[in-house]
Formats: sequence, structure tokens, C-alpha cells
Amino acid sequence: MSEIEAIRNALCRTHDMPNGPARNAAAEQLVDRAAQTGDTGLLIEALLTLILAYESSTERAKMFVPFAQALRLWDEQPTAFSPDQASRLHWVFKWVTSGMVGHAAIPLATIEHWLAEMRQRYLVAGYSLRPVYAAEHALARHIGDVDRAWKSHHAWLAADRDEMSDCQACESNGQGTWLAEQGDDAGALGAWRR
Amino acid sequence: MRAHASGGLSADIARLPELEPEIVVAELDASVVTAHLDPIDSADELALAPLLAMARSRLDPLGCDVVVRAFHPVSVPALHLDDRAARHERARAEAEAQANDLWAGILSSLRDTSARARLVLNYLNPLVRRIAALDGDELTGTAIESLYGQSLLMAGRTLKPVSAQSRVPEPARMGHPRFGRAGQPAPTRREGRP
Repeated sequence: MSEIEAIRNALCRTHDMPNGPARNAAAEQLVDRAAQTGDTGLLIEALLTLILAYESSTERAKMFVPFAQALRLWDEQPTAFSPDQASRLHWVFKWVTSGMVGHAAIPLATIEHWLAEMRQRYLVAGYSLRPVYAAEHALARHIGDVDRAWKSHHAWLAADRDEMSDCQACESNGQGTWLAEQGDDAGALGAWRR
Repeated sequence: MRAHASGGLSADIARLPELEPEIVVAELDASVVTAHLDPIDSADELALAPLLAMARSRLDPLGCDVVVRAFHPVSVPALHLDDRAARHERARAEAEAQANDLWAGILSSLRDTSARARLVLNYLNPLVRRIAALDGDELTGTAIESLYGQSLLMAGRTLKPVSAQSRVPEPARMGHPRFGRAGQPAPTRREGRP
């Protein structure tokens, strides 16, 4: 079995491991091995695997490193991404944004800058801005900007659903808790029944 | 009962408790290992202060700290200790150096100055004693860098260009380009998405 095949198989096996540091460490080693093969498609797969492992563990904050690497590859060699990898990369934007909001070391101005970039990148990729408004809503709620939270809540509901949208149950959950928080119990129940 | 198994944080070792719940698996990081090696006499350590200062300034750009301990076998002049936190910090620094302004800023705010690899010089080793007695910073620095390169190879690590760029002896130049040509399509396995 070639090194490339061995890495591919090992990447698949990480998905069956329990979430946590051991899975993360396995994926980290595979990123290093993939980088040494010079196969960019394989490196992208390893980076996305590591990002998912981090997201599923208590080491979420480590995700920014492989994400920055993957995003740079996307900017430099977009054709090295399969359509599925490109889609997964854009999906991860949402994890990254919520990760930033929860990370005290990342300044608010930087998060705003990233949110604007996420919007731009979703537009370029042809995705609906629905997840961008959802992310903006989460940020506005986090910093207590009620006006902006309402605005982005409405924009979120108005934008089309597409393959980047969270599932209906996840979305309804978030929308309902916002309405309940604002004292609109009937609206909250309506959202949760959607 | 206490048993030690080598192999870093190998995924298989980490899963031992699934077979036998009484087994406790703990990850040894660089500081734990260093703490278990014998410290040297404080007068001796004081005499080594100039060597340590020089060694630290030489290896600082490589993200490596330097300490002196006494350990066996005597024939090993230096031990390279690395752990996941240190590896992640190096990956972070590397990604920061390659990122655009926004991501360089984000990654810079995540810097972890406490996570560093360590070169542990063996005070019992004759070569280390000779290096400590050398006159002249240039020669001492070169000797320390050579020990560093040798300890990396002994630890089974592939040298990256950044480790091998300066004065490490020629046979140690084994670095691979981190990113190469565009590769084949990656596996198509899709992730469960939240």
C-alpha cells in the first residue's frame, strides 16, 4: 500500500474513533504525513479531518490553525479542492465564526472583519447568505446589541435555505430561544413548532 | 501498578481503558519528563549559565527551550522533548507566517508562549562538557545547533527546512517541502454535519 493510500485509510479510521485528544492527535500526525507527500488534495482532506476532530472535542480553539491553512490553500489552489471538499470548507466557516465569538483572545473588530469576509466568500461561492445572518445574529446577541440581533434575525429568516443552512431543527431552536428571550413566548412556540 | 508504554499518544494506547477500565492512560508532556530527570548541582548549573543563555538564544527562533539535566545513558548528549501543545504552537506560528493579514492577526492572538519543545542537555555526557568549555560564541552556537539536529533525528523526526537551514551539518538536510503540487481527488466520504 502506498503512503498516500495508507494516509487515506487512516484518515477514514479517525472518524470511527471516540472524540477527544487521541483522535485529535491521530489527525494531527496525518496532517504532517499528508504534507510530506506533496499531494495537495490529500493535505486538504487531512486538514478537514483535523478540523472536524477538533470541533467534536474540547479542543475546538485549535481549529483556527488547520482552518487558516485550508483557507490559504483554497485561495492559492482552488482547483485542488474536490466539490465536496470546497463545500465542507465553506461549512466550517460557521464553526470558525462561532468559535471566534466564544474565544476571549480574539478581538471584536477581528470577528467583524471575518464576518464581512465570510459574507463575501459565500457570495463568491454562490451560497445563500442565510448562515452569515445567523452568525451575525449570534454575534449581536453575544455582545448585547438587541437592534442588530433583531435585524439579522429577520434577514436570517428572509434568506433562502440552501446546502449551507443548518438543519431546520437547529435553526428553529436558535430562533425560538431568541424570541423567548425577548418576551415573545407565542412567537417562540411558533418557531419551535416549525 | 504503573507501566510505561512508548509511542507518543498512540491511538491504540489511548483506547486501552476500553478493554480494562482500571487502566489509566496519561499523556506525558515535555515538562513531566523533564521533571523526572535528575537536576544537576546548583553550582554546576550556575557555571553553565553562559552556555545555556547562548543555547537558548540560538534555538529560540526554532521554538525550542534548553535545559540541563543528568541522565543515562551517558552516551546520549541531548534529548529532544516534544509534546502536542508544542507541536500545535509550531503549526500555529507556521500558519501565521503564511497567512494573509486578517488570519495572521487571528493566529497571532492565539500564541501560546508556554508551549515549547525542549532540548535537554545531558550533563553526564563528555561532549556536552567539552562544548561547555569552548571559547567563542560562534563555535559554541554551532555545536548546540548540531546537538539539536542530532537529537531531532534520534527522536525520529523529519527535519523541516526551517530546522536545517542554518548550520546543522549537511547530512541532516532532509526537509520536505510542506506544500507541493496539486494532487489527486481526495476520498469522498462525507461527514455527519450538525
